[in-house]
Amino acid sequence: MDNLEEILSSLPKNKISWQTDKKIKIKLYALILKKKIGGLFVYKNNAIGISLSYKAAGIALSIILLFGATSIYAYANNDILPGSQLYPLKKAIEKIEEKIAITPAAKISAYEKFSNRRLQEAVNLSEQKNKATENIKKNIEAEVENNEAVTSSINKLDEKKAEKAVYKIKKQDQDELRSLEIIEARASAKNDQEVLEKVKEAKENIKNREYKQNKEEKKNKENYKDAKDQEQQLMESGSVDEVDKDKKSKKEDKENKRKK
Amino acid sequence: MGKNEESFLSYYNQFKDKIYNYFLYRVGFDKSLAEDLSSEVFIKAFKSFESFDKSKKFQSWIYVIAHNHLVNHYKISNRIVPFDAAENLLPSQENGGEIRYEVARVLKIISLMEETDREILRLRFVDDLNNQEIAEVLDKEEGSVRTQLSRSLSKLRKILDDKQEK
Repeated sequence: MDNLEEILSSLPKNKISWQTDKKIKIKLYALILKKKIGGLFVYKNNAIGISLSYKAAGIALSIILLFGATSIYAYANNDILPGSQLYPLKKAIEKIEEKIAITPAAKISAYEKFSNRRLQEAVNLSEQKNKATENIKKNIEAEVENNEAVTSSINKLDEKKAEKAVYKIKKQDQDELRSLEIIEARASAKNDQEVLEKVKEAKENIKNREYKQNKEEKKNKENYKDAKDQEQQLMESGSVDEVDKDKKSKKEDKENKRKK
Repeated sequence: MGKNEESFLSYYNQFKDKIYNYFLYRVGFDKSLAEDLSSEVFIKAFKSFESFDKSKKFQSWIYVIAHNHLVNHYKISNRIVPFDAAENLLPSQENGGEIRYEVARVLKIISLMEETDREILRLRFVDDLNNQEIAEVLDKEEGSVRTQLSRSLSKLRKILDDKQEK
């Protein structure tokens, strides 16, 4: 048989049915969502945080039942951008997520995720051939707002938890700065001054982020610096005695306070 | 969605039909079983996708998972699978009577061959894998796959010619 290989190559090949395809996709999206929801509330030692994650999963599941696989797709996909028909669904799920994040720790996790997501969407928007100036600007503004919400939630935590959260946020800040640099480079290539201005503001905002303990550290440092400057000035004026006197009087003040 | 998830979904879209066909030809053309097995394989692959070495071909990786999954399925179900039950998948008489006849004849002969011959012919002509990819799936040397394939084709050709002479 001369055409054997030809016949073998024409062996029938079928396609998976669309119902099964849909079922597999739903399973995969559910796994992706489980992965994402699982990481929603990061402070696992916090008992409230754990129960909230079940609540979040329950609500997310209700949305999935209402909207089907589309909701999972919309929620977990950074390619669903402003202007897309699915974008409002994505935002609606985020709103619910925000509502059920009651503890500061849960809020930090949610806002930080939204912030990263807005920026990632902005990166994807900046990749488009057409200028998407307005949407990019809006997304960068949203990123800044979410970052501010993160900062304010961190300031509500106690010192130890805040320290942990700041450590994590600082790492994410580096990622955000990198994303902003990508947007900046693309905006610069398109000569999009408005976006460049927004990027600049956002970068400054990240660099100047201040947290409670940072503020206290800064205050202490400033006080220390002031004291040193004062001492230096007195030394320069030659009145070393006065410096000594000043030190003595400060010591006496402290002792008096203790006695009291 | 992270890059990992995104690239997995894109791989899924690319290989869903190929994996489905892989099972279809190995479970006696039981469509529902082939779909179940395909689903299980993709879920399994997704769960271990982090361990997938991105410098390697996804196709070889997913076929190895499918191959192992099928071996487990055989172990559990302990079934012997016919290879010539593809009649219902062949083009109808109106669309290609001659092809249908030839393909049905070839399928029948293949079903009488040894499993090693059947498997290599399936991998080459149903799954469209090249020798190197077959070698990766079967964990063999490429040279040995080439020899085996040529041997299986010769066997098949000989049986077909003998039958025609009779």
